[in-house]
Amino acid sequence: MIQLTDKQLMMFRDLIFDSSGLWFGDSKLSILGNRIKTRIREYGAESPDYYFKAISSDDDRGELSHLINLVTTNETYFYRSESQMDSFRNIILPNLAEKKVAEGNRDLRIWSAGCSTGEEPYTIAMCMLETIRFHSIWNFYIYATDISTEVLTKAMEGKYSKRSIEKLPEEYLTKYFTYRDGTYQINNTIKKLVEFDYQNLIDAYYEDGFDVIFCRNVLIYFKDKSKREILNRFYDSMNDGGYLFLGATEMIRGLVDGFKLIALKDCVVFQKEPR
Amino acid sequence: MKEATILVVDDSPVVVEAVREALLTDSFNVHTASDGIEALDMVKNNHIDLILLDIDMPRMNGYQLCKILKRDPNFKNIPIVMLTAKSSDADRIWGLKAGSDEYLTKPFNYAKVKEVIKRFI
Repeated sequence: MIQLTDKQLMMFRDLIFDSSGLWFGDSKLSILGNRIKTRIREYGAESPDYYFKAISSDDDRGELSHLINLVTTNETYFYRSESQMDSFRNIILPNLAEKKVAEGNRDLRIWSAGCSTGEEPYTIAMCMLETIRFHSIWNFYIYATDISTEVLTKAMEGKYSKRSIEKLPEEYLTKYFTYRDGTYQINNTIKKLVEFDYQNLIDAYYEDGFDVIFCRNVLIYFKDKSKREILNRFYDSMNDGGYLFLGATEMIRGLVDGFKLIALKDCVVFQKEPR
Repeated sequence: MKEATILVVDDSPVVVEAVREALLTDSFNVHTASDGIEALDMVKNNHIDLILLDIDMPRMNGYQLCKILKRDPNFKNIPIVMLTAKSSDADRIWGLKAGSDEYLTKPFNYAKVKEVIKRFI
């Protein structure tokens, strides 16, 4: 049985922060500790100190990268946070489409930042196809990024368990999935709308021109200084009037200027306004 | 193989220096950069025959730089060899998806790096 002292846990936390910018606050320490212990067992290290030494030396930086993947991977599912997705589908998308049509613009660009195994960007794609009329004359671009190549590879595969699709409206399931050998395979109609990319949000290189950014329950892994930088980069990468969806309980007051809070049905969204 | 120019991109000064020294000994010209943005600037302003590219770097990561260069008609023919600590199958798959021509992992053996360079130049 692997035991991890508080001091050892702090050493791992600091190492992860120094190498990735991801911060595990006190409320997340027990999850972090459990995942590290699991990984130490799998790795076959004789002790936490041995494992720490291995991943903090230049000899096994690949293992550090693997550990970071493990501690940041969270289970997600299709149509997560129903009220947000309903608002996106029924309010935000129709508004954006109307505005774009008036401008003679048929480009719609959405970013799912911290997309994990793909449930969020694929849900976004389905909402777009279901909501926007004459979608074949539109250019939809859904950019989906994550810090883990493992989850990105799974996302590109597009195979899901029953548990992942339970919250999805029945008609979406029928239309956009093929059931085979106990798994639900996302159809190519949806797959081809999503471009997956590897990115740590603390990197300075961001694509731009986004109408909506989803970054739900991701900023909780960063310290305030990094959050400010990320939110300012989001601001720069969004079109005027663009929308930012964060996790249901995440707030940005005091961290960034230029976003107006808009209350929608049972949820809020942040809209970019001129600074 | 003489006088070909290699761009070494890595945020670790220790790695950059070790690779640079070895390449210079083999009579390559060497440029260096510590992240993707600096490397992109270097590629735009210099003739580069091959890039040795790390992945996890500040500002712009190696996958992103690789994708940008391989989509640019002016630079898509420059061979890109990933030289990285990211060693899982998924990391390799991602390297190929980004357009890299070869994927080597750290800790690296310089003889192997040289062998790969020879294949492209």
